[in-house]
Amino acid sequence: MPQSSDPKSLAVPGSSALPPIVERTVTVTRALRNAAGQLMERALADRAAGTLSKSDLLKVQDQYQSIIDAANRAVYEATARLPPMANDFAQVEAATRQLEQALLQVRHFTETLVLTAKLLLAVGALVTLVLQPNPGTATATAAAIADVVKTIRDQAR
Amino acid sequence: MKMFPYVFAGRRVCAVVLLAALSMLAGCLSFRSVSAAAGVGQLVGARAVSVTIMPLYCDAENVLAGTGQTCPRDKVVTYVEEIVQYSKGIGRYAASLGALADYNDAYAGDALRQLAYSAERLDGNVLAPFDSTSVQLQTGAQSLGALLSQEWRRRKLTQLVIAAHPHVVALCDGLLARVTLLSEPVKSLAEQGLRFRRRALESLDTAPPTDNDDVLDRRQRQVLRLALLQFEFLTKTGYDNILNYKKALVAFKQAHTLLYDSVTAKKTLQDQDQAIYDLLKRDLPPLLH
Repeated sequence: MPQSSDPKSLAVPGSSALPPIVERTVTVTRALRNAAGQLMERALADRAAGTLSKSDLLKVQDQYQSIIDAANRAVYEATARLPPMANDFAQVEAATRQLEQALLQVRHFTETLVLTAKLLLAVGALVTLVLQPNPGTATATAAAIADVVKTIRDQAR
Repeated sequence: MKMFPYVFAGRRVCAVVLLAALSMLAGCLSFRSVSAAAGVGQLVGARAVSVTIMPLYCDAENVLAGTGQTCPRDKVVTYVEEIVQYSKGIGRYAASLGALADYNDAYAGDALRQLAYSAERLDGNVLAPFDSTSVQLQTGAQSLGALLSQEWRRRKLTQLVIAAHPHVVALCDGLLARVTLLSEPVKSLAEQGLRFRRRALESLDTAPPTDNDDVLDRRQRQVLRLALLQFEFLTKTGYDNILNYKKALVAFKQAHTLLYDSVTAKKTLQDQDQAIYDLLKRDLPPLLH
C-alpha cells in the first residue's frame, strides 16, 4: 500500500500501514491525552481567574497525571505485543552479505581483466623491443613490466 | 601467403561489426534509481541515533508519574538497542545496494580496450598499423567490457531486491510500529506535559508573597521553572529528531517498494532506471522534509 506523501501523516494515526494494535493504541491514548490536556487547560484558566484554589489545582494536576500514566502504560503494553523482527532482520542481513559478495565478485572480475590487459601490454612492449630495439622501447617495456608487478602486489594485499 | 592480408582484414571487419553491435546494447552505466533509494536507506541507519535518548525520557516520565512508575526502563533500553541494531542493518543493506549500483563499469571496459589494443598490435608477432579500424575495435571492446559488467550487476541487483523486499518492508514496518508507540510518551511530554508543569508552578505565585519563607519558596519554584524550560526544549528537539528518523523509514520503504515494483514488472531495471529515478525524486523529498 503506497504511503501518503503528506509528512504530517507520520504523526496522524490511520494514514500509514501500521499494525492495527499500533493504530488503535495511538488513537485511544491520544484521545485520552487530549481530554486530560483540556482538563488541565481549564484548571489553569480558572486558577488565573482566581476561581480555583491551590489545592484544587493540585487535585486536577493529579487527575491529569493519572490519565497520562494510564495512556503511557497502554503504550508500553502494546509495544510488548508487537511481533518480533529478528527473522526479517536475518534475511536482510543475508541479502546484505550477498550484495557485498557480488561487489567483491565484480571487482575480482575487473581486476583479473585489468591484470590480463597489463600482462599482454607488457608482452607487446617486449615484442616491440625485439623488433624495434631502442632506448625508448626499452624504457616502455620496463615500465609495462613494473606496472604488472605493482598490480599483482596491490591485488595481493 | 598473398591471402593472409585479406583473411586478416576480413576478420577485423567482423570483429568491428560484432563489437559495434554489442556496444549499442550498452545503456547508461549507472543505476541512478538504486543509488537514490540506497541513499535514503543509509539515512535510516544514520538517524537511528535519535532513539538512543529514549531512556532519559523514560526516567523523566517516571519522575512525573510519582510513586507508580509507568515506564519499564529495562525494556525500553532493550527496545532502543534493537531499533538501533536493526536500523544500522538497513543502513548497511542500503550501502551495499548503492555500492553495487554505483560500480564503475568503465574500469572493466578500459581493461578490455587495452587487451584489444595489444592483441591488434601484436597479431602474429607483427606490429600491425595503428589505423581507424584498430581504434574502432578498441572502442567496441571497451563498450563490451562495460556492458558485461553492467549486465551482471543488473541481474544481481534485481535478484536481491526481489528476495529482500518482503523482509525490508516487514523490518521497516516493525521499526515504525515500535518507534511510533515508544515516542508517544515523548510527544506528550514535549507538547503538553512539561508545559503544564511549568504553568502550574507559575500559577502558584499570582498573589504577593506573604513572608520570607514564601519568598524563598518562590525563588525555588523559579529555578524549577527554568530547568523545566530547558528540558522542554531538549524534549521538543529530541521528538523532532525521532520524527525525522520515522520519515527516513517511511521514505526508504517507499523507495524499495518502487524498485521492487519496477523489477517485478515486464521491463528491466535498465529500461526503467530514469522513470524510477523520476518517481523517487517526486515522492521522497516531501516524505523526508
